[in-house]
Amino acid sequence: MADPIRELSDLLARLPGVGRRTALRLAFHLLGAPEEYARELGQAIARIRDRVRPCSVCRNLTEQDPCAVCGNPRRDRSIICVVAGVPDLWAIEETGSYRGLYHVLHGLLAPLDGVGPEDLHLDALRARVQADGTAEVIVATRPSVEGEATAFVVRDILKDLPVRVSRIASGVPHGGELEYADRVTLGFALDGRRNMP
Amino acid sequence: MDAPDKTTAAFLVRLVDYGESDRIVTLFTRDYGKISALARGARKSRRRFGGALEPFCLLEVTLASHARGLWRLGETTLVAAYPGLASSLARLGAAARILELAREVVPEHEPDPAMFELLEQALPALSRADEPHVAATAAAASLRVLALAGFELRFTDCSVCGAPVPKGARVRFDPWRGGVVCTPCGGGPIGLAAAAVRGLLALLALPLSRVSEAGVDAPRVAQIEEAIDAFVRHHLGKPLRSSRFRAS
Ligand SMILES: [Zn+2]
Ligand SMILES: [Zn+2]
Repeated sequence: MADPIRELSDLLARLPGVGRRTALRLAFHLLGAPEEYARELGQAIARIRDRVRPCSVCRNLTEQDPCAVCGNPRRDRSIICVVAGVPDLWAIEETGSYRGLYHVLHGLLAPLDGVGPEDLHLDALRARVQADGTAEVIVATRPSVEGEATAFVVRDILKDLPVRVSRIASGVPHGGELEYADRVTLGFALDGRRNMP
Repeated sequence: MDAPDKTTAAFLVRLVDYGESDRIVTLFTRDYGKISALARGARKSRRRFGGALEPFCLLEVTLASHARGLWRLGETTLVAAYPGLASSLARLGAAARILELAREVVPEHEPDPAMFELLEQALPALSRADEPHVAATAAAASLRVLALAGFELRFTDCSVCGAPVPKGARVRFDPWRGGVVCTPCGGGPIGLAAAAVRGLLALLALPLSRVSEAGVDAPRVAQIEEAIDAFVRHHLGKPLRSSRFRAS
């Protein structure tokens, strides 16, 4: 039972997308890899729990505060993109076409689970927009009832501030066929709900 | 041994993560009642179920053979979305209260087509309701959900002695006894104006899509809602999670 190879592969097998066999293969790979690499990997894993915290400005998860996006002087500080979670922020960063800042909600409105507007740190967003005189807020939540409702709530709390609130377009994937588009996406695209007055 | 897959209409009423990549969904289905199903891979990819694993939508689901009370969720498609629910917290909160109430009061594995049909009417009715009529629509739908589940709240005669409520009189509602209680029988903690009782009966006489025609004003609707809430809290032993959405 105290077999360290077995112990490591059991832990690896709990990672998403990693089966038992892959886990065992990875464990043997690490055993054969340069010692330095295995040590660094172990430390990096320990660090993410110790050091990663929400950015005090945008709530992105980060080691330094403010995060790399907020701390980057070349980012456009007049735009804030509101996302439900950090994976969404990364997805937008990977497009390379957005140069503004973010605000991470860490969730969407979910009334069936009792998650209400007050759980989404919207006051912090409002305070930010007010203090920085932000020109535009882009709401990049997914097209679903909960995503759309969240977008409406964001627009609502900013209503009396001189800021433009826009909603990312949602619709058929680029190069995709209409008939294969999922019906929620298609439904919301048809409803023209991307215009935020 | 493998039974053929079954296809049925369904509302998603709960979604919880399960393990690294799966989710367990609670569905209220037309043909099999309230059931739980394992949605393999649903955590890893929203596309896995065609992006259709969403609450507040009418779905068509395929269920594969089950073991120990848990079905396996197959192909899932969205049949109807109710966009009006997304554009107002009042409408969304009301829809959540109805779905949550139904989820809490129906037993598992018991087909209840009448309850399903009620939800199928309540969601579009709420989605299309003007904001001032959302609360009345939700109150009427809640009373019907309760009645179908076997809790018909009594408003026209005393829940204890059965004496008819005198017309035009203010009455007392007792959540423990599930209805109004006359003064000789001890009354109840919640007061209902005669107009609230009249309004409530008018709401129940109309289809959900037309409750605005009953013309019940907001303070009366609030009294009716208070009575329903108190009964639900008493019966479930806790408030609905979505009840906090009413305030906002
Ligand atoms: Zn930041
Ligand atoms: Zn009595």
